[in-house]
Amino acid sequence: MSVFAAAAARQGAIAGLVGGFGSGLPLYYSDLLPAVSGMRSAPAGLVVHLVVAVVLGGVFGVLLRRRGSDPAQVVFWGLIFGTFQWYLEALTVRPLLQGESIGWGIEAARAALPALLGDLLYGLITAVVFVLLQPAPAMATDRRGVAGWSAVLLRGVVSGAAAAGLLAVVLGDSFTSIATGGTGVLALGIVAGLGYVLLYPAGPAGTGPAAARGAGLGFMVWVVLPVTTTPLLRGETLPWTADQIRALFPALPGSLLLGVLAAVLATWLSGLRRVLFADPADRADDESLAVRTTRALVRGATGGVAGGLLFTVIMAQIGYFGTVAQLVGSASTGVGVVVHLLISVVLGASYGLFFRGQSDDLAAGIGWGISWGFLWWVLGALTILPVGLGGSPQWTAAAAAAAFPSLIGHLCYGSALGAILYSLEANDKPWWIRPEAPVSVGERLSRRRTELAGSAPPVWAAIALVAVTLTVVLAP
Amino acid sequence: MRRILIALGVALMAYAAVGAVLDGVNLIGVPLFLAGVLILNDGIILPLVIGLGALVGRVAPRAWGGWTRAAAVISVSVTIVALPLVLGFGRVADNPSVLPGSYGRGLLLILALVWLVALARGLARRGDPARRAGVLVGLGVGVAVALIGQLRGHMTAAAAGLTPGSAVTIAVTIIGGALIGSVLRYRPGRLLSLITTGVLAGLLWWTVEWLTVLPLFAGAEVSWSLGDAQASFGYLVAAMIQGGVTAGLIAAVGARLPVRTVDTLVPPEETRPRVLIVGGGFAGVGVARRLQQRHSTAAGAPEVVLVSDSNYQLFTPMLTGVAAGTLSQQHIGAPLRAGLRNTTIVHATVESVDMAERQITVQPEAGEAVTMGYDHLVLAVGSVPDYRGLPGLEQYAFTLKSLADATLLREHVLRQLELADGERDSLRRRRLLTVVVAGGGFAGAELVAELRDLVHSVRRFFPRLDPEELRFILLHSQDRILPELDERLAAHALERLRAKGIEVRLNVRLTGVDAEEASLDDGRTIGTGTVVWTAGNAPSPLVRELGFELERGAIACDATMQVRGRADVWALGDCAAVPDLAQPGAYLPPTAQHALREGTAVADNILAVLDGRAPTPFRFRTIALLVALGHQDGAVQIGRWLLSGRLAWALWRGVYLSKLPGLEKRVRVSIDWLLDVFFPRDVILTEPRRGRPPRDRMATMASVNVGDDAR
Repeated sequence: MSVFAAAAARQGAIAGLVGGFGSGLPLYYSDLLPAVSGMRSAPAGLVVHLVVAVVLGGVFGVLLRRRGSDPAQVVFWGLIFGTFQWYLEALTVRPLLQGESIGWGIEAARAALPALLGDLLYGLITAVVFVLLQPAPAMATDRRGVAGWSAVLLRGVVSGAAAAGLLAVVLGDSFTSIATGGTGVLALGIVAGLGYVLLYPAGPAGTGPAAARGAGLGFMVWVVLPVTTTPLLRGETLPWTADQIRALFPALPGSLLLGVLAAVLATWLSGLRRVLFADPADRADDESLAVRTTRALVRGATGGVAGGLLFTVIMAQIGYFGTVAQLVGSASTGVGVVVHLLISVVLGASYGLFFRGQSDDLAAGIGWGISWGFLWWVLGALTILPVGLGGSPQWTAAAAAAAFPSLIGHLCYGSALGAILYSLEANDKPWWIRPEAPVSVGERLSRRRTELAGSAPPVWAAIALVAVTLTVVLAP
Repeated sequence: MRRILIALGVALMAYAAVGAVLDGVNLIGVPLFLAGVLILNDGIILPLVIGLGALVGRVAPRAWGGWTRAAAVISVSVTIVALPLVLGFGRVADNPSVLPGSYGRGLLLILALVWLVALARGLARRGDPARRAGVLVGLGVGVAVALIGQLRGHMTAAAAGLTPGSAVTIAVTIIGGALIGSVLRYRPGRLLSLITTGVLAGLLWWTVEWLTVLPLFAGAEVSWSLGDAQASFGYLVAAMIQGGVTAGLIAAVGARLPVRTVDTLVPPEETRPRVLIVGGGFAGVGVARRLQQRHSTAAGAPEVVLVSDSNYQLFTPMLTGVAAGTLSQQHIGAPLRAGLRNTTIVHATVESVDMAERQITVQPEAGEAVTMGYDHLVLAVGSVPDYRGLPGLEQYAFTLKSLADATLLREHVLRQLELADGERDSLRRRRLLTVVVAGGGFAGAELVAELRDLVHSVRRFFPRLDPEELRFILLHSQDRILPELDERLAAHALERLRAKGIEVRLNVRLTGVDAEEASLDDGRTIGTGTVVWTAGNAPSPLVRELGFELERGAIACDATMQVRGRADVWALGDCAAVPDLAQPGAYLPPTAQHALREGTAVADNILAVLDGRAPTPFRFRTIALLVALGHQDGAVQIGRWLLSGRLAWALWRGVYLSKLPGLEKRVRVSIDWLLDVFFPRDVILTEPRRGRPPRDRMATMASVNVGDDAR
């Protein structure tokens, strides 16, 4: 092991120790440690927990030794690290060590839910500490001055507050009830907005990727605030068992939407400056606005229709058309098909527009597509559809479980859409093989490339894993 | 074979008819139903499927082989036909014998089979080594997972209702492994991302395998239900681990394969075969565009170089529009650099070609001549006006081959009006107001009608002109104009032109032109200052220098468009004599629609030769002939279908607008046409004044200035 890797392992171990305390102490005081660690006594459990935390932290440090300079990457890797850890350690290795069969059944997963939250929190804390431990040069590559940073922070606060305000106005009580009323969601929004700009301080990115990152961020906010910090501040024990988490589930779609909206607004705020004031020389992009927008919309709509048609039959099997038809006040299946195809076109065209030129291989296309499908499950199936049918957003675990077929539909649709769009784009001299990009464009492209190599995959995986795992495990 | 099939079909129909009569079926209802089926099939489904096939062929990426395309078309057409059954239209609640089956399941089963075949074929295809390695690794992991799954029976218990049986489960699992592997591609420094993506692919495959395909084969309904998901939760974990392991192994293999990083995705230029295209017209651009979309399996994407003496592709069918002032000149040219992004554009003229060394020397507008090597040379140099040695034409006659020609002609016609407006001498005035177009082909007929429209639309700005004095004459050497068109349609077009006041003189040839008159072969002369020559084009003079065998002045080619006796030189478009396979002894006409198709065919043939296959002979029958005859009038022939008047004119505009390269130009031309409805055409003259030079005032002003300074 090189000196470099050894140093990274040391930093990772320190971060892991902090993460271990951060996740272990609340578990300890909530009497959940015996269940999570498999030890009879809580102190012994804490010791085991800390040892595991230090070892895994070292592994984390070695794995991410070259990525420490990018906070977004490290934090999202921390999230995914925690999830993987749950699947591999809590569901697989630990039962084997204890002489039981591996816990891949639904009951075992449900029983191990506190461990999932513990692992997620551990991953997040470890990642944040690891970023903070990085030597100064890596952190200071960015030449932003104090003024630059205050503009960035202001952007985060404004977009977060605006997102919270907008959602509160549009969704009313269903949204404000995820925290303690208006002030609560405003604080949540500001945290989300600040979190976003701190993770992604660099200039504008595509709206689509921003939305996907926002969803990941929203999930982190949910884990850290309503599920962990708020109860602890109130002096309660951790509500991490399956039943308690089920009660807290309604805050998850709200947090996700909040994260998405805050991220999108923050992106648009910085994008607006560019659109309005940037010098043409700095915008030497390849196509004119009309051409690229039209092309993106047409491609997206084509992919949308294709994706929509692909799942028509299964939708008919599931009986989904009757429900969509009610959106326009009809009960006819035929109307349902038309509405479904219209929705497919809208989703496809918006995907084309927001994710234009963001994928550099098929896997990336599928990844962004899945994220887009998931967002529309939360926004469409859980929020707009029930509201459109005259009700309120259905954010409970039971409603999410009932909408599970729709979740699978959205994920499959999204991946098909992403794959088709990628293929269409790959046909037309794509950016990732364009060697002669001008400097201003090249900088943006290299940022995109870095993201695809770094923080994007954990965002996609986190979104899909969290959506499927939590919905399946928490179903009543 | 065809006759046997027809006989078989007739026999079947007869059997059905006899059966219908003997069984005494409803003699009104059944024919009605059959008619309905006929209309539905021929009127809706067939056009839809054909349209879809065309759309898929046009937008589908080259990476999707023919199999995937076929699968897409089959899926959609089968779905369209079966959807009413799936949705239960016509199902009656109290009569379970109407539409009793589970059609959705049946359809899904068919779709699943179609796609499994297409995917298996796609996975078996030869591709780049990294992808192949991915598929093989995935396949291996898939086999291992299938084996483990069979050995560990207890996990299956929970998902018993979902599994169809060992054989199908194993097959699906193995295909899934290969699919997961096909998505993942190792790139240096992206190990973690690869593993994460692998886990994601595993999750996705779980939804496909355990929630869709296996229930389908097991005879259950696909419901994507939570119950199924919970029953197969263990397989979710397994599938994610499978994805992660596949990714890890692919990375391990990929690290040993030759590095193909982002920057080397395009092979280095030296090793790529170079296709050098001369000419930036329909034919040359057609070749380049096709080569941009396809690539050879053996040699990858060839390097494409296009040498052209203009930096745009001229949309010749709309040149008359520019001459008539309805279109702006830039709007009918598509910049080569914008349309052909993967092609190296060389703005130069050809100096010489060295076939032995496979080299070509070109001369840019300024600087030294440049010599370039090639592997395949494509000659699409087009044609130039051929004056047939008639005296005075080169000096006095206008042509319509380039934007400059069109602009010059427009300015000249308007200038004649300006001059005539002040001309007292009636003979000279009549000469100024007479336009002669020689050649009654498409270009000539369209041009004379358009010029008439131009003059009449701006006539009101010249109130002193007498409309009676305006003369438009079309000369044609045969007994009917538009010889390519059906006789009746051509006669109708002649009638329309004459009705517009255009003198059409048949069986007469131009013998010479001077500054004041045009002489004809019947001994008569026409006093005119405007003669436009559209009666003859000849292949570009370059083709004579190259030393090829010539056929009617054009390069003699095989039906594959390879120049006779040369496997690496291709010729197409106006400069080539390509044999017409439908009519032995004839050659394909030099039209834009042929040039475009020839371009595509030459590109495919070059790729075939690069792959070691034999090139395919080119066959194409003219789809349609369209001619515009001035203001909202035209004639169209599509096969045996003849059309004239406004509809034909609208068709002309629609077809050519859709053929115009690039969205931007389409929008601009549409706007030009729209504005032409509301505003008069422009009479601005931008060319410098010719004829008598103005008195030089600059000299006088200079002397005054000097005086001022001296004071």
